[in-house]
Amino acid sequence: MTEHPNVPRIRSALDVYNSGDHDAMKAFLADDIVWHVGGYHEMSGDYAGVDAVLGYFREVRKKTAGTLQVQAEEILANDRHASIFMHVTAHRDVRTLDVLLAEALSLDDQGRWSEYWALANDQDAVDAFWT
Amino acid sequence: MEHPNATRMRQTVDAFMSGDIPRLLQGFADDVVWYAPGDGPLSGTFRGHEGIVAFFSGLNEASGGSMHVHVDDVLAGDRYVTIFLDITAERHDDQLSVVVAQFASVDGQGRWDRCWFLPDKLAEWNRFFAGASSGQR
Repeated sequence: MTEHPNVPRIRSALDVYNSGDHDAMKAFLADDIVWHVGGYHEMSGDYAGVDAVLGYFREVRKKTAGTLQVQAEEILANDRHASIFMHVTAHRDVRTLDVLLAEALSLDDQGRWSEYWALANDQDAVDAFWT
Repeated sequence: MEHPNATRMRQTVDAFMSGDIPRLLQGFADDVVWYAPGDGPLSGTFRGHEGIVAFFSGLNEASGGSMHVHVDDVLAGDRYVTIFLDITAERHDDQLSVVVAQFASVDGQGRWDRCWFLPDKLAEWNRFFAGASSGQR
């Protein structure tokens, strides 16, 4: 089956994210993106607008000393939506994060991310990592 | 042509909407693990067919049978499926309107073995279902 063009586009976005060049992520995000961070920790909440989301990325990178990496196990996409099943690993002081995250994306007509929401297979571990 | 896993996920949702629990459970592996976010009674990790019944019964009871589910979109591959559901419900003066992304991985027999149930507006979801009673960790 032919891969939808939004699949390689998302793969590129994840490579850019892992590189830490968050300003380059801007090309993949809609100006009015809403990014929902679930759970009950200091990073939880809704980040509205591309600048707020990039600020969130920078904060994550700072708190994890650049160790947070994402590795997609599967990317599904069409014109309107995408989902990513990804392993997320990170270190923070003596704490380690290693979860499988299911992520949902709404896409705008240019394939940019307009809404993001996600759930880990172990949300308690995520909360403990960030708290 | 739609991927068979997309069709089967539509059937799972349809079984829930029609209240056909045996048909609903046919879609799930015996040792399915169901992850639901939030801090309410319908949050946490639900395991096995008993867990699936507890979660869906809780949803149905807490919404007073008012829940309406519209399938907006389905993404499917051989190993994973994601269905996007517009879910609305009413209880007393309270109204719920969320988009739920329901993710599933597929076992070797074509059954859902790991599922993530994820509303976009979690605070709204938690508030609406705060009074539900059928959750389990």
